[in-house]
Amino acid sequence: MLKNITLGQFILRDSLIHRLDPRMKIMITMLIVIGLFFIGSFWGFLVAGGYILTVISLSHLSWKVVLRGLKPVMFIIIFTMVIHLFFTRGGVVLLEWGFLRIESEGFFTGLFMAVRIMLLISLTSLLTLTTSPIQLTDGLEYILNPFRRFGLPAHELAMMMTIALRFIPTLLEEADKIMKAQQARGADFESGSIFRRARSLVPLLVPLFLSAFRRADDLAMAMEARCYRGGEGRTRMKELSMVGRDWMALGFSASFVLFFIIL
Amino acid sequence: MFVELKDVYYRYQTGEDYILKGINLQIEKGEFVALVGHTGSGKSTLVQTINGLLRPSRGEVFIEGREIGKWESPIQVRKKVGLVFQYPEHQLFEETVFKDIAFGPKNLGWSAQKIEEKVRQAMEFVQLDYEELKERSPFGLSGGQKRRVAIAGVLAMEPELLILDEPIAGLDPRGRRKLLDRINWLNEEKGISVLFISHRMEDAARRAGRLLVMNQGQIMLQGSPQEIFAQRDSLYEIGLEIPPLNEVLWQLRQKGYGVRTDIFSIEDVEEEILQHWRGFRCSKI
Repeated sequence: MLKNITLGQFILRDSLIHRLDPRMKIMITMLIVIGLFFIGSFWGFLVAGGYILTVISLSHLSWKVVLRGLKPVMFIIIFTMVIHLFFTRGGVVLLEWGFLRIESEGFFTGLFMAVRIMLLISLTSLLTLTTSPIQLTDGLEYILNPFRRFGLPAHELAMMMTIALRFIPTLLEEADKIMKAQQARGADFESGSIFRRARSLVPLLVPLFLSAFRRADDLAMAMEARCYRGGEGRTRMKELSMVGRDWMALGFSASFVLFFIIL
Repeated sequence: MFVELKDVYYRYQTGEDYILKGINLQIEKGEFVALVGHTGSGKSTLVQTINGLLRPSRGEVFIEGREIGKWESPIQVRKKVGLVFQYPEHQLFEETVFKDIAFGPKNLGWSAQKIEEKVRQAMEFVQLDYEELKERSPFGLSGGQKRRVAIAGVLAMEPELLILDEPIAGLDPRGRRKLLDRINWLNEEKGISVLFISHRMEDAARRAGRLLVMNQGQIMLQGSPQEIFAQRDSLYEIGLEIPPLNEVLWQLRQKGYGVRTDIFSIEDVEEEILQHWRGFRCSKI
C-alpha cells in the first residue's frame, strides 16, 4: 500500500537533461510554469506539449514513468474539468439535458484547464525525475541566496529539504513495520467506515511520530557532534557552474515560451 | 501438529529473488524452538508467514491442520500465533499501560470484564505490577519495562504459540537474563509454545529443545542444541558462532584433549574440564 508513492523520485540516466545545471533547470521550470498560464489557444498547448515531449525524449526516460506522476492528481484534473464543463457559461449551447447544460465556453475552459494541469505536473515531475535531491536543494540554495539579505535562511531551508527527502523512505519503512506489529495484535486498517478507519490510524500514527521525533533528535545531536552550525563560512567540494549547454537550454526554452504565448 | 509449513517460498515482488526458498517446518504444542541465523537470512520474513502477515508466494502454512487462508478471519490466526516484533516498545501508543495491553483483546471483541482479567494476567506473566502500573503512561517507563508492556500486549490475547523476534536485543545482561527466564517460565509452567529468534546462539542454547539454523532463506540445520553445536565449522562458515563455552571445549579438543563438546551449562563444562585435568595429572604421576 505504501510502496507506490513516487513523490520526488529521481531516476539516474546519462542524458543532456540530467547533466544540466540544477539552477538552470529550476529557473527554466519556473519560466515554463509561468508561461503555461498565459497560453490561450489550442495551438499554444500543442506547442507546449511538444516541448515537454522533446524534453522527455532528451532525458532518456520512458514517457510511462512521467505519466505515472499524473495518477495521483487524476481526480483533481477530472474534477476541474467537470466543474468547468457544467458551470462555466458563455458561447453556444453544445448540449442540453434537463437542468444540465454544456456551453462551448465551459467545454473549452475545462479542457484547457485539464491540459494545463497535466502539463504542469509532468513538467515538475520531470524536474525531480532528472535532478537528484542533493542537486535540487543545492540549486535552490544558490537561487535563494540573494534573499539572505532580507533575512531568508536559504541554507537552512535547503538543509531541511534535503533531510526531509532523505527520511521519506525511512519513515515509510518504519510505518510498514509498525502497521504489521499492530496487525499482529489484531488491528484492522482496511475495513470499516471512514471514521473507523481514521480512528484505526491512531495506533500507527502515534508510534510513527514518536519515532520521527526520536530520529530528529538523534540526527540533530549527530550533526552538532560534527560541529554543524549552519551555512556560515561553508565551502563546497563541487561548485556549481553554468556552461554553454545551460545557456543554450535557457535560450531554447525561452523561445518556446514566447512562441506558445504568442500562438 | 500445531504449526506446519510446507515448502514455503516467499518474495516481495514477482521477478525478485526469493527470500524464503522452500521452508519445511513443524512446531508441536508446548515446544521451545530457537531460530538462529545471521542478519538477512530470512528469519523475520519466515515468522511473518506463520501468523499470516505475509502470504507465501508458493507453498502452504497450516495452523492446527487448517490452511491459514481457510480461517474465517486473519484475526483468529493472530490470536493463536502471537508475534512480538523486534524492539516492540516502539509500537506502544496508548495513554496508559492498561489501554495499550488491552488493544489486542479489544480487537478480539472480548467483554470488558474478560479484558481486565487478561490484562492483569498478562502483566503478571511478565512480572509487571498491575495496580502500580496500569494507569501510568507507557512512555514514562524504563526500557526494560516498556518492552515487557509490549510483550504483555501480545500475551493478553492468550496466544498458543508465542513468537519473539530478537526479544532481548538492546537489554542489559540482567534484563536479558530476567526476560529469558520469564519466557522459559511461560513455556514450562503455562504451556505456551515458543519460537525464539536470535542471531546469537548462546541466548537460545540452554533453553530451547530444538534449534533451527537459517541461511539464505533455507533451514540449513535442524536438531537438538547438542547436535547443532557439534557442527561448529559449518556454522562458522555462514557467519555464526557457537557459544563461548562450547568454543572453549572445541578448542581444547583441537589441541588433543578428549573433552565432550555437547554440554552447555557452565557447571557441566567446569566439571568436564576439571575431570580431564585431574585425569591428565594422575596419569602423569
